[in-house]
Amino acid sequence: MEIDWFDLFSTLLQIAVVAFAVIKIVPQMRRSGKSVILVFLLYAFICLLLSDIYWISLSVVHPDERLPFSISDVADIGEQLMLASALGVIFRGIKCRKRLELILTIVASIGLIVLWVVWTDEWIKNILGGISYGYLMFMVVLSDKKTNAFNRIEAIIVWCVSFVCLVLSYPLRWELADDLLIPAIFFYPLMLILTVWFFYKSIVAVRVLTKHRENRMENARRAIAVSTSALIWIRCSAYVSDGIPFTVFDFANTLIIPFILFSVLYHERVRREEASKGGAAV
Amino acid sequence: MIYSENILVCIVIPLLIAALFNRKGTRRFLLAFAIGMISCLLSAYITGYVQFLTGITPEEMSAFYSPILEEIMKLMPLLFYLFVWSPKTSSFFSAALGLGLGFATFENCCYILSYGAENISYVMIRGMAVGIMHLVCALALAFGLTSARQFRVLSLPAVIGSISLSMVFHGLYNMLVSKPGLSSVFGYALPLITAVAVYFPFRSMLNREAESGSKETKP
Repeated sequence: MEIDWFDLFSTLLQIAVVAFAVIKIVPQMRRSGKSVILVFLLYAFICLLLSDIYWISLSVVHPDERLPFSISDVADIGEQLMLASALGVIFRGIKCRKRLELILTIVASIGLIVLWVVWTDEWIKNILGGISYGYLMFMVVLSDKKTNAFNRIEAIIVWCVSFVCLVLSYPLRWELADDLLIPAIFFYPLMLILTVWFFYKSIVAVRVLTKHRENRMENARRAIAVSTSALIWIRCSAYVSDGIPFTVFDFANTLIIPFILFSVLYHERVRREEASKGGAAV
Repeated sequence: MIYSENILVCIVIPLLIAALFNRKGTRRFLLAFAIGMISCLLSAYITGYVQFLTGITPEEMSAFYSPILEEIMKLMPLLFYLFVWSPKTSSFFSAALGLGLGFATFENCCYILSYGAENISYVMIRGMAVGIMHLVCALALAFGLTSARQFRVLSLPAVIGSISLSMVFHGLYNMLVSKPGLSSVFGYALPLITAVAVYFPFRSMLNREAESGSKETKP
């Protein structure tokens, strides 16, 4: 089997970043007693770390073995569910209407599951992975709404671009179109532009945490919502791509992890300070 | 061929009788140990059945799929205990440890009876690696479940997320030891290294729980 050096480098970088995240979380857990948000985040990151280690080990120990459903898929499902559970705890105090978000995420998830099943012909993995991804997407979209992370126009643009990319990915993946150039011209640049925009929003949200001292809890929640939205978008882009674009999005997936880590740790610090002052704790 | 049911009966009966003569904490541990062994036998049945249905080779089954089935079989009694009796965190951890140890012990018993125990160094490596691996998996599962319960967020995603971690750890170990060579050395060392890394945070957590428990009972 040929070694894909870009893929290997990307996975090793992700291992380093996630291991750093795990090392940062453990002392915070000791400091803040037993915070369920940190426990969930720790579990999510350990799942991601073990999934990467498993993937590299499998490539070395059993290079020709590719299974329809493997342990690294279980790890991915676990990571997404734990991240979604952490978001559920962070935002559970805020109520809002969620009918439209539920419909949009269900439609997007079904669209993705159908695409993956037809593309790879692997049913169990894609259905289970799609359900967990859809649940994480729902929690992220809900957290965006609860924190007003994006204004109405931004949200409409993001949803429209997402569905356009999803629709364009069908002819590209199934090679249904006679001229594949048209979807290819729009497909990757659109996804890349939105990825860069999500990174910009995440940087701005995290900068607010370091610059402003008022409304710290709200700002932390908004930073969490924005960075997890970026994660969801990057993963969606990676899952509908292959080759070099996949490696680029996989690399971006690693780069967004420190943003999530920083904003969650900041949120926990503020929560701890508020609890010590006698404020409400999550 | 070995008669694993007979071995199970032979080990479990003295344990159950010993449980009658012990106090609550020890009895809980002994019962969890026995249930762990029963879970191991049941997971072996299911693994064999799935292998028959799918036509996967025993080596592939052991390396790639049995971790999923075995961890689900370990989760079932723990979830039952958690939801029906709502035990204290320390009691739950004790039950999880007993379950993991029982599972590992029965697996090792059957393995040694099948393949012999002439090579003491290999038996020791296997005993330490498999025993500790099941222990670490059970602890990871128990920690995730108790954390979620403590903050009243014990939902299906949290349960699946917790079990995923133990499945992945178990799967990584099985895959690494499935071929001889450097990878199996890493595989055998993995549970021990993880247990050492987990030991100190785990002890401090249990001490904190004990301190908060004693504060609550003081008038």
